[in-house]
Amino acid sequence: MSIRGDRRNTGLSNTGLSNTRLTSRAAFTLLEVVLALGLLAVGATALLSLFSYGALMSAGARTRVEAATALEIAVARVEDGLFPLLPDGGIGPPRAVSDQPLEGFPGMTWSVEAEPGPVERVAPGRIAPPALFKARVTVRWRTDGRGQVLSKTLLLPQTVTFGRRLRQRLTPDLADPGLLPEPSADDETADGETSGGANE
Amino acid sequence: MAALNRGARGLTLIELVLALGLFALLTVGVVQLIDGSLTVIDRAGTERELMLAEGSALEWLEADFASLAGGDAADLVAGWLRMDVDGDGIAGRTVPLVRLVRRASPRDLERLGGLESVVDTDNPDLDARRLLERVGRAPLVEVLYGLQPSLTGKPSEGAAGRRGDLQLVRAERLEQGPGRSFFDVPLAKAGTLLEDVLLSGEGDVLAERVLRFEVQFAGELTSLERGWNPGTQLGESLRQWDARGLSRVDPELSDWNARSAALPATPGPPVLPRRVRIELELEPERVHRRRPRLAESAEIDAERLRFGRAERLPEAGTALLIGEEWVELLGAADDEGWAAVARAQRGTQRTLLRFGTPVQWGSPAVREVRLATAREEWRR
Repeated sequence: MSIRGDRRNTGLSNTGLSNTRLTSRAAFTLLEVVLALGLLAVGATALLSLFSYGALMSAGARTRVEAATALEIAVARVEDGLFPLLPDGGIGPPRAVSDQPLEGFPGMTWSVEAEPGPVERVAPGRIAPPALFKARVTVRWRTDGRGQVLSKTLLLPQTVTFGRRLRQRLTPDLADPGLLPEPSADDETADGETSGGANE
Repeated sequence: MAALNRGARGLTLIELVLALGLFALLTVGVVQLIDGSLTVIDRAGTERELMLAEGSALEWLEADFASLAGGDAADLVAGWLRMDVDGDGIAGRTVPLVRLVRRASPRDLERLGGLESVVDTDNPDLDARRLLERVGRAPLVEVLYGLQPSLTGKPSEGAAGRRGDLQLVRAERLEQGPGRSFFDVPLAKAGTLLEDVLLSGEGDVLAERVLRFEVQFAGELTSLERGWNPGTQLGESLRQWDARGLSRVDPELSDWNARSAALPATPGPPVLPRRVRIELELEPERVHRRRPRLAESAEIDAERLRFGRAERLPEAGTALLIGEEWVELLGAADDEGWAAVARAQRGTQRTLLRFGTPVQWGSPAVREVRLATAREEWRR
């Protein structure tokens, strides 16, 4: 696009406006103006998109920091209570948690799935160590409509801490059933079925 | 004039209208784009500001709790007191004061000037870590956390913040025995203690515009599998802690100081929590500059409040601090600025809300620390 017009003839004659000079001063056509504005809009869009993208990345960084903290808390909860403590003192199979809210982290949920881990060979006559389970802890949230995930995999022995046994003994009313807030009837059935296979 | 009209052919009316219409459309598009971008950039700036401010303060707290001294040297006292934050003569905000003892790292010793106590003059080239190893155990550091009203010109000249804002103060000093200990000061004198440490240079302001700073503890008997439920019964988490059972947390100062059944009632060896939960909520600069205010006074039993500049309010579900009471915004404000709220949230009580009281909110950040001294290794 070129700027057209005779810049030398911008002065007015002593007698007023000269029609000759006016006719020789070409201006932008409507098409040129619209094209120019269109190009400006496209340029501005591209430029602002860059800013917006950077800003969104920056905003997402805090959420990811929060998600990392949430994951740490979920991992601590899993390490403490993945395995239900059964009424007879035995330890049940790992429980699964699916998209439970995490207090203090609105918009984030956590899950855990566990599967049997590597089996250790035991020499005859030796006491078998606790079974190992591979637990995958996941924190999910959404940023601008897109799902985000942060996860960590742990290898946990099928054991229960002494502290938790103590709490179960001293505060039976508040005794935790494991990770689930309220165990369903199915869960209780499952516990009953598996109690015979507990670790102790 | 006839010559002029003949020679200069201008735009026709239709062309002019078309041009103006196109220009208007493009302008609207560009303005919307800029507005959207500025909103995103503004939001990102707020998030970044909070991440830096809350993150740095929480890192200090995490590091201090994670390196709590164990054994006979251990000590931790956390209690609550009511403080007059807005200068109206009524102590209406419940704020914590946390004091703890941690092991000094070489970096702590350098910062606090305690390296002389462990320097081996025969081997001045030994670095601090090897010096500490040689001494056998690191000296102890007392650390103090508390909230201090930000009053113009007091206690530290030029302190940021308006009257009614709170600052998170952290102070530390090498343990020097009775008479020079943070633990010697009664909980009721927390305000004086914080002013003293700021004036003496032992204290630093970790964060400005603190809306909420809460600490909860989980003891050996606290069940956390269903979340943190503060209370005084066995199994519930604790808001207060006195590691030595010396009655240093006065229950008269706040309901949150009520003694928990999970803590020893008589003096004895130090007992530390197994986990600590820290919540910190700061007011972003953007909210601070553009605080809405109450457009009408509200009685104690009012369930709807009228806000000025209601378009600045956050989304429904956000907790708002109005004066010394937390409320939850239940929905968007109507055209006249009225909005439904749930009163007396987060452990605060209903108060008379006066016309013109600023409305504040933030974005809470949470950390949980598992204490190394209380790690449960015994499993079966």
